[in-house]
Amino acid sequence: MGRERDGERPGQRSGLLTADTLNLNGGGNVGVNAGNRLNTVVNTLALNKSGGDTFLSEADALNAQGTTPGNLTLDAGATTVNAAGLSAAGGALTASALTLNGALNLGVGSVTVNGPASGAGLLTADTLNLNGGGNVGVNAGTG
Amino acid sequence: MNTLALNKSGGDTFLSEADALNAQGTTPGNLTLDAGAMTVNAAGLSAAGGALTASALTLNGALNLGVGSVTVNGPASGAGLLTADTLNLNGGGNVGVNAGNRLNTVVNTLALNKSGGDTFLSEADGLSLSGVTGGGNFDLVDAGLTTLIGSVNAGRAAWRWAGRWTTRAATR
Repeated sequence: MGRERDGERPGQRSGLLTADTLNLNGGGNVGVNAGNRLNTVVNTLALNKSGGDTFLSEADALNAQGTTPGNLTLDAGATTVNAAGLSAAGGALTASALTLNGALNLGVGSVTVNGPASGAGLLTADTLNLNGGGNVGVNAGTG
Repeated sequence: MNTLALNKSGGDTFLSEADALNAQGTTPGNLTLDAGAMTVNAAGLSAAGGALTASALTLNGALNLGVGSVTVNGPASGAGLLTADTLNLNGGGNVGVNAGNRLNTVVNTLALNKSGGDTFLSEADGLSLSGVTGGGNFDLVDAGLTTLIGSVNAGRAAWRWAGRWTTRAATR
């Protein structure tokens, strides 16, 4: 395990975290704020947090699931919410595309999709911003 | 969700909202949206077409669904201009408030299937009208030509409009 540099705490470095799966458990913040995020290149994000807010910047596509009682602020490429669902108390999720294989509940937060969105999962949020091109839903039978 | 903000550059949008919704923004594609009580914010909401269905509608801004249809299954009000190919007014509840506070429309077809409530409309350039008012009063000011399609049934309710009119048999 690497030694922490002075003034830094785990999960708050500006370095890039690369892995297949990132499991975020327990309390405490991940990242500092929306301007100081944990930078990742992971395939899967699994939340099982008991507290704290989470600020992530994912470089590309992401599969995500799990829960946090805090806020989740996440920028990512094409994001797929797995069947287990993804929920947070609030925050802001921004994705270039969104596939809801499970429910996405961002509570009082906002969800921004800059491209297509689809899937059977229920999207719950205060605000849904739909930007860019691409279909949202598939047809009138698939809202 | 509470608020839908569209700023799309392409694609069609199909949404099913479980309850009330504030909406605004634009899309060059179609918008097909089912929602509960819907409020169009002052910024307005526009799409090329599609189908918008709401249990109630408040127009704080303009709603432009282009060649699409708007269906309101309850009351509708607000100063915003409603533009669509077809406006379906169903269910109970007033549409517009009174003769001085009408729902302002630019639609080609108005289809009434109301079960109650009074309807006050101001149409900018003529429309085709069909259906039943369901016992409520119907008051239309049409700056263009109103075409009655088949029989329009207002029952014992007051029926008033200002403008030119003609009739046409219903298409079977």
